[in-house]
Amino acid sequence: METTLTRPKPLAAGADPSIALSPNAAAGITRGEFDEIVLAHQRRIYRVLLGLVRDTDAAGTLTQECFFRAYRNLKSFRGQSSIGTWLVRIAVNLAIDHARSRRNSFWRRMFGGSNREDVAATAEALPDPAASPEQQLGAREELQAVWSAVDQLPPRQRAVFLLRFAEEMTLEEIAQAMTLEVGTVKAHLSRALTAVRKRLKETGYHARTSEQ
Amino acid sequence: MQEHLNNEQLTEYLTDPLASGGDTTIREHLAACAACRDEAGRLHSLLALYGEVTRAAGARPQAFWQWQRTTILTGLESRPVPRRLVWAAGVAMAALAATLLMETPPPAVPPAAADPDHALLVDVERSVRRQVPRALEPAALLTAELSEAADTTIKKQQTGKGERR
Repeated sequence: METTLTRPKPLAAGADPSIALSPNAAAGITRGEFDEIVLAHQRRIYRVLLGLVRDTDAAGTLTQECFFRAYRNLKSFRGQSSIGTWLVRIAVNLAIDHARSRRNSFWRRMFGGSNREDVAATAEALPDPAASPEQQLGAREELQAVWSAVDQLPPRQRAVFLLRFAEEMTLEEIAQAMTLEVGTVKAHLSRALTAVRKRLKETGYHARTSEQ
Repeated sequence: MQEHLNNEQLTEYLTDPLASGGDTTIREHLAACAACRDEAGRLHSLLALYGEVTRAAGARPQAFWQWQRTTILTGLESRPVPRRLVWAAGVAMAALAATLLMETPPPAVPPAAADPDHALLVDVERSVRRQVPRALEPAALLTAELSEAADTTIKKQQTGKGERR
């Protein structure tokens, strides 16, 4: 059974919900229309959450929670950004809250995360298969250094870094998603990149590059 | 020309290449300095690889996405509890609590008669407060009576002596 609220104009088949959903119409949409939004954005939301919480189970649960929150708060969506950017904002806030609660969790301190995503496993397959084993090993080490440096960043910096370099969002989109000024986004990126470069130097990245 | 790009310039180049492309200082320096060009190029490749790996790590089979969608849509039916219902429930609970608190207590029933456990507790309390254990009560009573009789006899004797004098 489909609960029809007050949405006047249904989405056209195959339409991008991020474009079609106008702020005035957002207050009342059918579950079918919301399903189209889920379909269009669930992958990105999951990726963002996984990149931030690094836990597959938590990322799945938080993805669901992100959409529940979005549905509950559709009235507050004012159309100042795309609905995709708005969803990313909800996801980032959820991830930050999650990190805070995990940091304070007694059980986490005792036993650590059990479903922590092993990015290294993914990285194993990715570096250019045409490269020599030595080059592949070097690329993996560098990638690990980047991941390690990113993991140490404060949550907001980490989110900005992820949105820029993994989701390839523009600085303006990131600013909208994080409710920041573009200048602040740049400052976060600058600090994050400084940390990454420092980490790369520590792992001998520069030694290798200077040799080549 | 400066020796090498500073961190801010390199960040600018890596994070916003379109904007930094318009920055003649960065553009000219990269054209002239092989070390900075190499550094910027390698970091650019590494960040691209980071993005690729991150996106690949988030890849899941189609069944996973279908399951997520179903879970979300199912959850929509139970999740969005209207705020006014929450408030109404809160007010109802508060009213109930107030009613229970203000209600006059029922007439007092003698606890011992109403509750055998209470009677037992009262009995135990009395036993504890007693100076003499229950088992020694007859002996204590006898001692008390003998003591009282002895006192009476002594008093009578003292009274008789006084009269004779």
